Amino acid sequence: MIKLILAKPEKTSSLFLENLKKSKGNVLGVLCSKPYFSIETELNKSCKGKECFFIDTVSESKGENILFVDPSNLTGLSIAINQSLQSLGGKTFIIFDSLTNLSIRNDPEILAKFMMFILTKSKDWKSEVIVILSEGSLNERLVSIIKQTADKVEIKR
Amino acid sequence: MKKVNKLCCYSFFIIAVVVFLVQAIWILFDLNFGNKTIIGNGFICIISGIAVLTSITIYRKIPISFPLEKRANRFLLFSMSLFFLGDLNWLFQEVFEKVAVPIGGLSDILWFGAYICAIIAAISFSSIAFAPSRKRFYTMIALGVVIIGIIMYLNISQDISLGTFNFDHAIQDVYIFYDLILIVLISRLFIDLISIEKADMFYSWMILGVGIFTRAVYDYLFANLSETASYYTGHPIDLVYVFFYLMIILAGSTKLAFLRRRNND
Repeated sequence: MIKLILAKPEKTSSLFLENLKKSKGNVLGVLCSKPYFSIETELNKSCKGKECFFIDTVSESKGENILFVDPSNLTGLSIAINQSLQSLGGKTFIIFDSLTNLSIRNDPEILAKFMMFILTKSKDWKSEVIVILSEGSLNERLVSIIKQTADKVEIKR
Repeated sequence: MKKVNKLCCYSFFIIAVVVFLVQAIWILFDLNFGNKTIIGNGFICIISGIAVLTSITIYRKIPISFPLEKRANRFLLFSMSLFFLGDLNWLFQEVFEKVAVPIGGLSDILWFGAYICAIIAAISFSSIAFAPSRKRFYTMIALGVVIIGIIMYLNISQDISLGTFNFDHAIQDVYIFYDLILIVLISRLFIDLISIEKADMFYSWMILGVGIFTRAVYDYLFANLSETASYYTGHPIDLVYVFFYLMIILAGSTKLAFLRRRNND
């Protein structure tokens, strides 16, 4: 299932942690707004009882379950997501905390294509995808593409 | 327990390294025990056989929810099997039929098939990754075509000017052509993966790339040696040939260790 959550910018971080905690399976978190080290304690708390792996696109964090990928390297990011899911195994959730950093470093058209690529592939991977977006922060076309692909859209006020 | 599991993942590689070292000692120290043809070909067949076993193991371990990678590994398995059969036929002809293996014979047909499967595998590996734009993809392909064209032109024109261009040389040039295609296909992934700092999950892809590069070096050296009819079984360049298989086995073992990690954590 693909779920899009639209929220106010100040709520995206807590929504990410909430979804991380709620996910009944292993989680691959793609960090595009806050770096791993700044929320490490909260992430570890939310990951209790499940296996989590994070791809940080914000800063070069060090750790066993963290990988830094340059946000402008979308090819590398797609392979990193693919390989991380293989290492996690079982029922997996891919959660994007936002698309902020990716949208700054990439052309909106290319980012839209990238998201389509990931969302389509997630069906093969049998993974659930949760994309959290802050309202008004992204290109309208990109949001509408994700909305069209999503099975569920939640708006959090 | 973790160490035992890791050792299991690398068991094929460890066996292959031992065979490789024995072969290296046998070749480099010119130890003339036994039948040179049987032993020289035997080493190659053992290691290429291990490469097939590794490919089977990896193919079985890739989850079905990753169809592109599964497809890529299926073709890699076909490729390794055909390489192995080509090597086996070479051994059979040299040892049992006691003939010099003809260029353009069954072994070459099997190896050509192996290269085609390897190219399909490389295309499948590439399609796992997101391609930001067709423009970049076509630019790389165009650049690849130009590089391949120049190298092939220089190679063939040199043969023609020396008056040595014939069927045998054309066959050797086809191998170089296949190698260049593989290098172009794999280099696209290399460029994007090399920039990722902690790349343990990409090691197997990188090692596979090194393997393909090694094969290209071997084919180039072999083409030059066969032009002067100075190749013989047990020649030091056999080590380069076997090193290609060693890299395939290492890439497979690394991938196996990566896939098994989740069960041990």
